Amino acid sequence: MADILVVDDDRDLAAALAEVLEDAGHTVRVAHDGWGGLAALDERLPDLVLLDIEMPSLDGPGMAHQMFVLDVGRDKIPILLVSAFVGLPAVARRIGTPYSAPKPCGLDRLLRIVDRALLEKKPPEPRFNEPSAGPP
Amino acid sequence: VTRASLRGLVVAVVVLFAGTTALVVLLSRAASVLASTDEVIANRAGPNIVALQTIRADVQQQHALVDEWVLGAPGDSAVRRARIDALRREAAQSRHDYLSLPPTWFPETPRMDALRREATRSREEYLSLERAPGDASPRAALMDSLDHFDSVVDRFRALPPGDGADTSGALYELDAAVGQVGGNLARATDFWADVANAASRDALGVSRTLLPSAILLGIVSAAAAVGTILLTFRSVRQAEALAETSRRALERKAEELEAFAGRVAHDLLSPLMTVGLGLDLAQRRAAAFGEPRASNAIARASATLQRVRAFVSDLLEFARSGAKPLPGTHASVDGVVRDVAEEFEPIAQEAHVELRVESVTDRDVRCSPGVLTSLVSNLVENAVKYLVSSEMRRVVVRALDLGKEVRVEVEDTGPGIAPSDQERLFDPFVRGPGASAPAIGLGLATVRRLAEAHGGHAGVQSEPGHGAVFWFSIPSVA
Repeated sequence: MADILVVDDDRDLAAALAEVLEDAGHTVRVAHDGWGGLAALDERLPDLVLLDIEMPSLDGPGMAHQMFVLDVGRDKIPILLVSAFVGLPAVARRIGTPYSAPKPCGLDRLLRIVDRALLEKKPPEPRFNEPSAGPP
Repeated sequence: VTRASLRGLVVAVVVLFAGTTALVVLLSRAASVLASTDEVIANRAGPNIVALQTIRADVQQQHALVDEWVLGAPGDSAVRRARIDALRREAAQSRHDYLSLPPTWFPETPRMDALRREATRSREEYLSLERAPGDASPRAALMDSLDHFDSVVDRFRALPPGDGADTSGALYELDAAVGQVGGNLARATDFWADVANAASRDALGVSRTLLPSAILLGIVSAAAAVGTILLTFRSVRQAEALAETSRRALERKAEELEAFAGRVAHDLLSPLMTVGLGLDLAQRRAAAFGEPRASNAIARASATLQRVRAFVSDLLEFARSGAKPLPGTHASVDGVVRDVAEEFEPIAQEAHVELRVESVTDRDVRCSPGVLTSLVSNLVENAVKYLVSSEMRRVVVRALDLGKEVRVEVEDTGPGIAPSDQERLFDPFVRGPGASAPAIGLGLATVRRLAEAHGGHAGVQSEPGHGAVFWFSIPSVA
């Protein structure tokens, strides 16, 4: 089973996601903003990051950018964007990840996307020069 | 400010109206005075004076002819002068001597007859002219003197031809008669000249008193007209500024509302997902531990949550529907319509509805594929949803190329919509009659807002009992 990092500022949702994923047999760590997520990456590299977009201090795209810029190893980790943000498809394109789930998303659908991401393991291919559609 | 300028405008218009009216009254009065003056001079005094002059000429001609008879032809001036000189020389002598000069008595009776006829005609003409009070006495005197003149001339004509007839008394009498006629002619002419003068004086007086008033009124009216134009211009500008301000305020309100609704909807979606995941997890565990009652309760909660999710999604979509499209966005009508039809096919089958796509244009329209999908699926979903109670269940989707825009129609065989309800249906939170499906009545409001934000329109054509055609239009890509 896989090692998964959940980064979401909604603590209840982060806990629910962790429980669902643990129930499916994965090892799960939780962080509540981009910096927390980066600290967890320092500890050890997971197989998949579930990433919210709108978060305080460092948001999802900001954390993805740091993963790409700071450490060569971290840029290979697939990212699954989980967000209610209106421009979710545009942000996914900018980060370059094929995996995204709009909130709210049911358990079955979420697990299907997680399984696909773990199977394919496509790393993000960021296009930071594309016009911004994400939050500042 | 607006009220004050409106008051000014009303005052200016009233002044303009009053000034113009007074000017018209003044001018028409002046015109009527001038017309009556003209009538007096042209129709009365003028012809009378002309007729009197004609009579004078007639009398003078007859007088001259008689003189000619007595004194010799005017062409024979030497003879005539000699006779006159002789007359003067022999003044002391009796006129008998002078008049006993060789006579050539009345050789030209036909000419006198002609003169008489002319004279009669001119008198008749004079008598037929319009009269004026005070004209009777000079006229009667003139006629009497003319009759007397005629009788004197007749006396000359009655004198026997031949030498030595005594004409001296008759000549005196002729002179006297001519003098009388001349005096009476002068009196009659004076009378009519006075009439003409008086009329002219009236006209002059009227124009002297009216002209300054007319000029003043003209200036006032012109000032009022300029004021009216300026004030109207200012009022229009003010109204435009007001409309612009209110339009901006409305736009700002709409933006605030969109931002607020979007924020609320977004902040609801995250917790909903937590609840949904919790319920799904609980459902799995209940099923795994064989607890059907718990499983049922969780299933009910999940169904309710689905409805809440649908409401929040509708709200979010409605909040976003007023946003203007980014320049350059376009979508293929054909692709989107067929995708939506495919997506709804299973739902339609489940509801025993025949979903058919007819004549779809291959034009692109100026909106994103997501917006077009939302527009089409809202209408198709509505049509399928409200067909459930109908016997015949068919939904036809077509997209027509109207040149500058593409019109997408969704026709159903449902119960139709009463005319009074047709417009109301597009207001937010209004639901169709007898609606039972879970929704909060934002579908058609979203369609209209989306279409209008993209420069199009949305509406419905329906007759109760004969189904309905819901449509929207979006500008097409050139």
